[in-house]
Amino acid sequence: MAAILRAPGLGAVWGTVRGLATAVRQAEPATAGLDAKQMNLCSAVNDALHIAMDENPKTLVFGEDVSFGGVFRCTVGLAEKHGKHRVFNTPLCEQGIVGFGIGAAAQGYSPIVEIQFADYIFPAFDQITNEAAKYRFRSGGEFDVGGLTIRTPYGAVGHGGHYHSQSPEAFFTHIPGIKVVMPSGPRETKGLLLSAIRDPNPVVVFEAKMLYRTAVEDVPTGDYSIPLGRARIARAGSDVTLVGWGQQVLVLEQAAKELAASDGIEAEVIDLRTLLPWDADAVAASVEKTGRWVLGPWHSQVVIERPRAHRGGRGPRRAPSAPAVCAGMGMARLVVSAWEGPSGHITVGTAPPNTTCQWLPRHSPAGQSPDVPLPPTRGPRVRPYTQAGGESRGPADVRVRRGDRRRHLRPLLLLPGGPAAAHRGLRHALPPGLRAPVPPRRAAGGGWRAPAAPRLTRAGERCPARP
Amino acid sequence: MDFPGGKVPFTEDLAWLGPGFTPRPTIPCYRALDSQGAPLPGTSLPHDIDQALATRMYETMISLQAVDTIFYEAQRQGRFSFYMTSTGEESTAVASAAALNPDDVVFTQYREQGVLMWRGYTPLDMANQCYGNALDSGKGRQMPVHYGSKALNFHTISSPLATQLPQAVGAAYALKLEGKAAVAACYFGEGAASEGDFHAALNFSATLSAPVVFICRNNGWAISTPASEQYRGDGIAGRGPSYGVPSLRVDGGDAVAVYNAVAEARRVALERRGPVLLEAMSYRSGHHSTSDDSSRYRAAEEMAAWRARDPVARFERWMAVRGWWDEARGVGARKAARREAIAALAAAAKQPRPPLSEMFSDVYDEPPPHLVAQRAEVEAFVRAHPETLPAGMPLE
Repeated sequence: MAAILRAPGLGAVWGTVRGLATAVRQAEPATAGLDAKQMNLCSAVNDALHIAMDENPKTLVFGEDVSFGGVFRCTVGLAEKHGKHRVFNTPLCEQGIVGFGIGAAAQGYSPIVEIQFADYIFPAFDQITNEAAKYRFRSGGEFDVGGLTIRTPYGAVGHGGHYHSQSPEAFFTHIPGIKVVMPSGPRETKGLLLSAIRDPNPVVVFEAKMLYRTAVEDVPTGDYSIPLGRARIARAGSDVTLVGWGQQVLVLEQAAKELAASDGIEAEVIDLRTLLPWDADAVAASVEKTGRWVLGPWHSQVVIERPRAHRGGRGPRRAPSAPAVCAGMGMARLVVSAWEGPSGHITVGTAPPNTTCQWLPRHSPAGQSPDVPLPPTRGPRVRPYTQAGGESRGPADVRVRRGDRRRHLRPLLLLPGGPAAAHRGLRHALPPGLRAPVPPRRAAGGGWRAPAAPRLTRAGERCPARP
Repeated sequence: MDFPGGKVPFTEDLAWLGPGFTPRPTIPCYRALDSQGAPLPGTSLPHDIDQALATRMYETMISLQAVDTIFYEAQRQGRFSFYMTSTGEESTAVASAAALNPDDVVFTQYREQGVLMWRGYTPLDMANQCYGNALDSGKGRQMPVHYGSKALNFHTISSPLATQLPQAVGAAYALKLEGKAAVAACYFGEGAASEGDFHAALNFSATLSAPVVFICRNNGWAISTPASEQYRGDGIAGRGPSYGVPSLRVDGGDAVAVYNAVAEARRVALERRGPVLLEAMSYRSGHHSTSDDSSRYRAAEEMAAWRARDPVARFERWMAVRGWWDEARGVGARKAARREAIAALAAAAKQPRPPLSEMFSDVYDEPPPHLVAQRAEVEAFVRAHPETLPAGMPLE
């Protein structure tokens, strides 16, 4: 069904996105055939809350200003219908709201707490991280606060400034024990919110406030849920994978539409939906198919290109290798966190054997988007390095390029235990013949060293271990 | 005048209320026994303590003292990593616990093991948790003294201070909605009462009307920080009325007074379906923990003077006056308690550790794919390098 965005001025917010158009979405099998009506995102939230309150008498809704309907009108009608003992205002105190919710959840209730803006969730970060997330694990499974759901509006609208615009989801994706959900539209929101409420783990749901009014689509009126931990293919494609979450998905869909129209590039857009745990299998399957992956919202547009055989038939076409894709997935998590730490020191959780990674952060001073390397089979588009001939790599190489500058980094393995265990683990995981990782080197003067000409290897040649 | 913020009388006086101007009177401290344990005449004692109850309170305090002493020594000998005693506060914990019902839900900080022992947690249970062995209900994941027991309605202890306060309010609210005749009892120290969560909890408990009994152990020290550096107002009880919470100050070393105060607090909380705040004044006779040497910041005379005010000795004398205690019984009880504590340590030391696989369970209800993958990787690594697995820890 089509998602129609209506609001003036959003084009100014979204820079390169020229105008807004309908985005074709794949209908979820679970919702096909259900009665639906046009709803905006805040109505979808309200609908979900009504269903949750109706089905479970131990569901509570509380937070600042929720009683009269909420500052974004997401809780309209709940207090009148279910009573002030179940739907109520709290004092203005986020740490109290979440702490109180944890206590109620620990006693078997299902509190859905609202933090009025994600910008104000930080006083509650201690309760979320040190308490809610660890309640089950630290008690040996005797206690848990699985009934807790925290919902909070996030994201820029244009005039919100520092404190009504933040997208802090990345902080929360590193907290084991909670789940983090960020829906991309009204139908997604209602189904994901119901799943979050019903999930027996504490869940933080980020709702795109910019979409509360502006995103309108057909949303089933009845009860349905969208599973957590599973991504959605928002747009099928064959040439490059774009991964996003939340309100960015619409931007990617729009960008994909323009790519197809102007350059004949068919981009596959993936909506992660759940950020913790995230659907690595879906991304892997997509990258297996397309061979190219553009990751990240707004800023860190890193391109990870899985190696292909030399084009023009000079060498055998190599099948995508699972280790290379896994290395890319390992990159995904750290790209999001590496944005906070552009020092160049990178760690990945795991890296399978025979894997090397190249990664280049985006440091364009003019803020230009990187060139996306394109497959020559797609038309006469000329790029310096592809024109010089396709490059073939060893089966395990994954290279990330931006322009003609390349840097070769190695993943470091994080292992439990002390240095001796780490050393053993490294030797276990790295292929024979490769030396242990070294930190990346910078050229004197601090700039990146660019090779004079693109490096080429013939088909079958293994890429050199270090530049 | 009816402001939305309050119905307030007017005055033409520009007069400050508070320290240095017109101070509020210090809240007096309720007690039933003098420092020697003799009952004071004219004490209001709405709740009687019969011999059976007194004996059980006494034996629990003796057992607590034995466990504290022996487990502290065990840590110094390197048998486990960490321990915290509750010396000087035995009566606060045990007498307050005796005034609660088993259905009351308890949230604590870390120095209330007497409450847990009253409810039935044994020295062996404590030793298992301190050793982090396979019999620990917490599966060996937390530091020592981070006890918890669902069966005993005692929420698992966490290290961050005061986080349990707003949680206790939420739990009490849930009990109220269920119509249960039960309260949430929430223990914390005077240092933790400086945390934001204290203020959040007091305010929420009053505005949302939750039947929670807040019990502050004001033992005068937060590690090396004396109470004079912790607050300037009238302690913790002085804050309660400002939040709309009825408050009472009590002598924490006086088991009879503590019992009566908590029993009354519970009755009031249930009757009004709202909060009450108790501040039990006492002294932390021991060090903050095995990682602390309080002689570096406290005078030896001060510590000696307070050790002489042992609350258990005070209760012994009260019992003796009634003919419920004598020297022989006391010696016998202490010997038996020591034997039990020592045996508990020996038994706990023999148990294996929980398996490595428990590192991955209970993070969520079911492990998500990335944890399943991590577990498989760790298990493969350990199979290839079995010497990296700690001694006494099975793989699964």
